[in-house]
Amino acid sequence: MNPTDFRDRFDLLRREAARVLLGQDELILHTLIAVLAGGHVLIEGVPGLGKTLLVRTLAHVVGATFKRIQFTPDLMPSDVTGGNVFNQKEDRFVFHEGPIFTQLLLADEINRAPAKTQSALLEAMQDLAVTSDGVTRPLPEPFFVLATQNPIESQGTYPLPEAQLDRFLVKVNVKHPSAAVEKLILRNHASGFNAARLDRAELQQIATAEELCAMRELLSQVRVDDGIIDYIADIVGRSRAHRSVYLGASPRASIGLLGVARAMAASEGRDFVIPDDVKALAPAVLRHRLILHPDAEIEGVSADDCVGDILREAKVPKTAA
Amino acid sequence: MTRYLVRLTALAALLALAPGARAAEVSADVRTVLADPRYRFCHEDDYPLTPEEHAWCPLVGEISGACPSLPKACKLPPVPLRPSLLGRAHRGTRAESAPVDRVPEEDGRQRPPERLNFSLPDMSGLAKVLFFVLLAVALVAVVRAIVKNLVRDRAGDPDDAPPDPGAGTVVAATTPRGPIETDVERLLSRARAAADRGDYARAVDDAYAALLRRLDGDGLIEIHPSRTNGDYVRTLRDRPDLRGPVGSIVRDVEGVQFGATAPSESVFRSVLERVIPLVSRALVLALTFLGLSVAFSCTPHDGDDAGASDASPSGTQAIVEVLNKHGLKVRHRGEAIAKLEHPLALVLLPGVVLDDAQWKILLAWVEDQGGRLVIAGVSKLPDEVEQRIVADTETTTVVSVAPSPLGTARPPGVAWAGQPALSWPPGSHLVPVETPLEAVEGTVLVRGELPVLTERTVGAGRIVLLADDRLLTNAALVVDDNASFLLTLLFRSSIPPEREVELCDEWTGAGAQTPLESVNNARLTPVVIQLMVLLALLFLWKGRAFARLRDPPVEARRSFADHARALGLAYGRSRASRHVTGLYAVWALERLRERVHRAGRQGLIPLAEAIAIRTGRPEGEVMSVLVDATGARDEAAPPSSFRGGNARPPIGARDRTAPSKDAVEADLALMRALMSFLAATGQRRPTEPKDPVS
Repeated sequence: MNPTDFRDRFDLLRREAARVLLGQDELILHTLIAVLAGGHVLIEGVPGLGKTLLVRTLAHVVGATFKRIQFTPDLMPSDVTGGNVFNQKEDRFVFHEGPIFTQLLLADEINRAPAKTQSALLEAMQDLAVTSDGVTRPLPEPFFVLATQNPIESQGTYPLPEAQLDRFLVKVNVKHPSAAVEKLILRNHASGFNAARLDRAELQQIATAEELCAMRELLSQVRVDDGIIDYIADIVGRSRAHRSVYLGASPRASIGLLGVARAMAASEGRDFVIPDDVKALAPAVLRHRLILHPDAEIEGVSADDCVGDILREAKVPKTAA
Repeated sequence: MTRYLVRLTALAALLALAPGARAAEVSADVRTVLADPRYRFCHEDDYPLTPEEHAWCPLVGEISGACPSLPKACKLPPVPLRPSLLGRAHRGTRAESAPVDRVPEEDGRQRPPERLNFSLPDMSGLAKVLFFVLLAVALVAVVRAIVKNLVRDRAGDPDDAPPDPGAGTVVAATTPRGPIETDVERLLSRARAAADRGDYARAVDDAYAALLRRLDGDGLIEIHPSRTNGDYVRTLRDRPDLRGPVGSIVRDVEGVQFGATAPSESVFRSVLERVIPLVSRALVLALTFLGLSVAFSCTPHDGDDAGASDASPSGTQAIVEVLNKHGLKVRHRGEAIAKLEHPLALVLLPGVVLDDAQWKILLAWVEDQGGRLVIAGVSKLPDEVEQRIVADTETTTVVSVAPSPLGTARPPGVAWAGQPALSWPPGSHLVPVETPLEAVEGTVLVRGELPVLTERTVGAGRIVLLADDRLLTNAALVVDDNASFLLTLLFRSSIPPEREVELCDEWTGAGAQTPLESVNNARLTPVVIQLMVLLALLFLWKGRAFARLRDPPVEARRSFADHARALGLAYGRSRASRHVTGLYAVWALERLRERVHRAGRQGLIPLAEAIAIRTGRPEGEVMSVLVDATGARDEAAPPSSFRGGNARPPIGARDRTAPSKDAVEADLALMRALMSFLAATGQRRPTEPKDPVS
């Protein structure tokens, strides 16, 4: 596979997903980029914007095995990872795989489970493996988690710990569609589309899990200039020095930003990263990793504002200015 | 006999073909024209007349309706002018009459200089508008650049400012950089030079930088260190004609800058070939537009050359205006006589300079092309004209129609409205080169017995010879029927339907054909060369960029005071003065306790005592402030015992309704009082060293 093939396949994936999920081009783009970069995606948005639909659609078009966990306050870690169950017939403990043993996992309303259960995802997300009773079991490849959370309802929710947040490669905010897009959605439904019956939507499977892995492999060949490395380091460094930021982005964020920039470059048929790739994806990579000072939060400063400041101050490499 | 018949026929035709020959109508037009204040000799009683102009005075009379002030000016003695300053007052060689500055040599009176009448020659309305718009834009740009630089210099150059020690935390923000080249041409030169050196990566960078600088200069993008190439391309979304080419260049440039594309000459040439048209496009368009508009608006035969004439009594300005009112197209000829293209009426005045070759061309033009030549007072005439001008002894000023040999004063059928009364000062008459006086062919007018105007047909054209040119001066219009006769004469000489009449004087042929010739004719060549040398030296010293090269302004971070002020305004808008006072009281009481620390003594009373000692204020007053501050503090951050629903409010606490204006003032007064305590107690006293054992 070469960058042109990558771009063509990526465009097909994007277009196929956009057939179902109308008016959420940025959401689809960022999610696909993150998936191809080997990361996990945290999708935040009010109910009814198609977050779950996106994940189901994505599972369909990439041909990945798909499982869904509805996070609730009484969800236990073993409900996620699975556990050893004594088999009386065989007189031994047998491991029963939890829903995490899949390629695409939808962690719906992830912030409704307590931190203990959320932490069950930590190892899986970072090491792509699950350890139970001292036995580490690898997860199928490719493995990626798409988690959703609702920013409005705070009662009975458990904010994700920083360690958990940091493991999400990107956080995508889903916004309300425009009036024109909403009309399209209505017409789509009026013509018989049912989000619960995606099999009737005649979605094409664009890639297989193996092809997805091949696309991921190609990213390692995307060239990264030293100027890009400096630019990424500058951006992440500035996030730690920003006046409104209490805790800046980690080196994992730098690595993640590099990864998505490579994926972005490949998605446009390039075999090299340009500053635009970094700048376009920096908000998605950094916004959930910045912890703001309380006074900044009181003033109404958001993480996106801080990232915007950082990008306005960071000098683009090899610029004419 | 035949000769007389020809003469009479000529005069009959001359007078019969006049446009109605309405002398009264022409006189009215003369009055209208001379009423213009530009004709100062008609409006200024002490207008200085030259001796030549003064010769008209006996003919003007005591009162002149057309030119009221001329009779009064005539009563004053004539003013001789320096030969070098004669102008058209004395038609002579071109060298003698260049300036129009008429300063009398002996008389105290001065003929005022001609008003400077600035106009753009031969430019259409569109071209004039464009010219003035460009002029205004250039002027505004220069003034803006100067002001901007002055303001910057006055405010201090941020590049020269010492680095802010607190800014060190911002990564790479204060990394020193050399000056950034912003001049497009210099960037392109640098790119070419780099390419010549084989440094194609640098060459590509510079060529692309030139493109960005041009777009920035055109106001299409705004270059900033934090902007990516994609940002610039997206900025051009409203310019699809540019977005495509710029996007294509960006792809190639980024391939070299960040990709694996090796910078090579072919890549550089490819980029440069696409950059050059975009970089020079705006300039080329402007120049093309200006050039086309000027070229298409050039109208060399417009005829409106009022500025080229002279409004003095010896000038021809009024002549031109009067004749133009009657259907003739009269103008002063600037082009060389050798460039005559089509037949018309050409009037030669004394200042015209013609050599033998030019005379030959002129006479051939008359004979072959049917040109009409009116020679007025030109002293050096070629033999082909067969007549010459000599000074006469005749003192009469009356000019009359030449008598016919049959004894009739007026030829039959002449449509002249009354007896033509023609008068001009005595001076010259015509004599044939070879034949005796009475044999002058085609005599039309005589003074006494001496011919002063003759006319004869030459080939397809005609030559009219006037003994002197004073009939073609502004002053001549004032006298009798001169104006009417002149109109008749030139109307007959002109060729329908255009009826073009061109006056040739000392300036004819003096017009430059090229800008360089124009500069040279104006004797400005040394000045221009000096200016060019100066500019070359300035270029070598400073380069082409205007003012100092500067980095683009860096967006300054907001100071802490701005944040504090914004926060204060936010609190003020939400009427939270009590809350602010409480928070301030928390901090202030803590600081005061630190500063006036009284070991072992707790509570407000010892604190008030200590502050009263330090500040010299009454203890009761201090105590009152502290109690209020404590109340405000407890309201803002109440102790846990007050957090219950039924707890009593703290001492000094205020009602939790919206604060009135007085309450806000009281809060501010409390904060000021606390601030004064803090100021009076000064810096924190050094604490006693702790007992290491304890």
